[in-house]
Amino acid sequence: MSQDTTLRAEVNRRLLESGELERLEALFLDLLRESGWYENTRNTCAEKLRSGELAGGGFNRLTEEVERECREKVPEEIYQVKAIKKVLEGMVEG
Amino acid sequence: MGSTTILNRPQAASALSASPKVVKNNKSLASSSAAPLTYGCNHIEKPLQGPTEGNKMRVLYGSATRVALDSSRAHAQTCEKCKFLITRTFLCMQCPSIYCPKDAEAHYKEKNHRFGIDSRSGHVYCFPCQDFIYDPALEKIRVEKEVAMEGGARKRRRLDDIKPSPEDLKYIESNTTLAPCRATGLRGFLNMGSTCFMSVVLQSLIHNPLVRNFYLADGHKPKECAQANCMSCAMEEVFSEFFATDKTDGFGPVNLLTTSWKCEQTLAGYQQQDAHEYLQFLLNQLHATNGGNTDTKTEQCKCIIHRAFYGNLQSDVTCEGCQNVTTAVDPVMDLSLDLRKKDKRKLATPKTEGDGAMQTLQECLERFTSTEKLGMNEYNCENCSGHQEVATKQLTVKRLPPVLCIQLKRFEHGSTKSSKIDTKIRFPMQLDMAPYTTRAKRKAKDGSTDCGPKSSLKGHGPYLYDLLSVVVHTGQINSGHYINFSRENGQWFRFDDSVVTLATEKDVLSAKAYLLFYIIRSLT
Repeated sequence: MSQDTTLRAEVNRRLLESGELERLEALFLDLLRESGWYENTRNTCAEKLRSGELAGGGFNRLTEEVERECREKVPEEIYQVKAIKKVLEGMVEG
Repeated sequence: MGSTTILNRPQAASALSASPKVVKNNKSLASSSAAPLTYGCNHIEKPLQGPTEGNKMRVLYGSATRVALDSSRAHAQTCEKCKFLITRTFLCMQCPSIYCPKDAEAHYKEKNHRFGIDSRSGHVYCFPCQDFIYDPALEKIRVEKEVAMEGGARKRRRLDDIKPSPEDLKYIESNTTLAPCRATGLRGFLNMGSTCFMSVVLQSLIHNPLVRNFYLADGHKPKECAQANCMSCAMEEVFSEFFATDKTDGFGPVNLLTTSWKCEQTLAGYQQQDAHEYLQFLLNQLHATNGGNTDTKTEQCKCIIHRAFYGNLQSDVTCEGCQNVTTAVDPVMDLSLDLRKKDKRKLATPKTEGDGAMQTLQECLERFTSTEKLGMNEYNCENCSGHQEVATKQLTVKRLPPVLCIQLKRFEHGSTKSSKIDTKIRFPMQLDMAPYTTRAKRKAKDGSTDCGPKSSLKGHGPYLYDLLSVVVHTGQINSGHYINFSRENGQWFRFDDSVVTLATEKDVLSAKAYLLFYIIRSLT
């Protein structure tokens, strides 16, 4: 494994074990809900499933269809949130 | 004033999702047939059918889900190949490997191992089908494991989990006509002269499952009630009107209004009152008229109001001199939280609210349960008898109620004037009350690193609440207006006197809340 992969694995492990991963996920989920993105995505998925466009395909097929456009709809402000950076700064030097 | 306006739902292809109320039409009965034993998909059917192989698979699934559902097990969350940890992983059902989605797909192609278990939820993914499958036998095992993870308590199945079979759905669809929005509790209240403070409180109770179920199950029978000016009888009338009639126009709560006046003189008249005060008054009345006992010293009251709304607040006063702690436990029906005072020194307004510059509900709760110093003359220590000692006091939640009502203290009543604090307070759709409990605070004080009851399941900890209703006050302190957001059947609605409209989560979460109602997720 390259040094980069080792570092990445270690950071990931710490994020999980310290509970930070769970906290960050909860924070972003809140932000996504507040901006209305969560509900919009759920409605988009529901519409796609009902429309019959997916030809009976399941989870994977749905993801193929909607992932890109839903990702694009994530509001810019959420990308500005510095929470992840702060957590990582606490773990890594330099 | 006038008729209730209900906006059309966005066009849904499946007519069934449009309204919970259906009316049987006159089509002939379809013949019913015995439901065959079903499997999640063709691919899982084969291994599950064979007696030994099926058994082995079921046992393996059981132990795999136990590991998968335990999010503290880092091993199960790490992909063996790329070591990536942030995404979901799949536990292979036919060998002990664990992969992220991309590598799991590759594993299937290589080894033809068809099924993976999602490490976050325990659900089964079928690679040939490219989809999650819900095999009844395996689902049963998965739910059992979920229950086991919560310490063996019986998990109350949520209404969403009980889905009708495809045959049932077809039968229902062909034998019913829709009567949208009728008898579903979706009605407005006519404003009878600044009575919006009443209607918002009433809507919160109407859409509260515990209160609603009590009244709809004949919890209070007006015909057998001999009490004069009974608020419960008036409430019962409201529930009948909203859930047992087909009317959609606004309801004039005459009975409730006049009964309220008779019970509480200060409410008489047509001025605007405080919604929180009315809530307390109403809950007290409903308690008194539903068999509530007033002598709380001997026995805890078991009326519906106490069972739904009452929790316990513990106050610990510590004498700094001798470290003696005086503890008192008091029942409370709601939490009244102070808001952070505006910092007059700050000149610039915070740029991005996402960075935490906005006050949050959790911040207010933290402040409420933090240790504060008592003034010099506020405390006399019995132990060390020196009343110059400094003392600290801390409030913590000893027992959480099923329905948590929170008041954000926006109104300040000074000697000369009253004012309203209008700042936006961010509140969540899901609230975890664990950090504010007595147990959690004590653990934090003892310096324990254990962060309280660890919810091994995402979203299933014992202190998790879901937002149920929001009461919003708009305008100035004496000339404002109240509106209510409440959730019914998973859909949010905005109640503005007699006007009921659809609302989005975004509408709700961006409102400047005054009262918040949260309901506990699982009653185990």
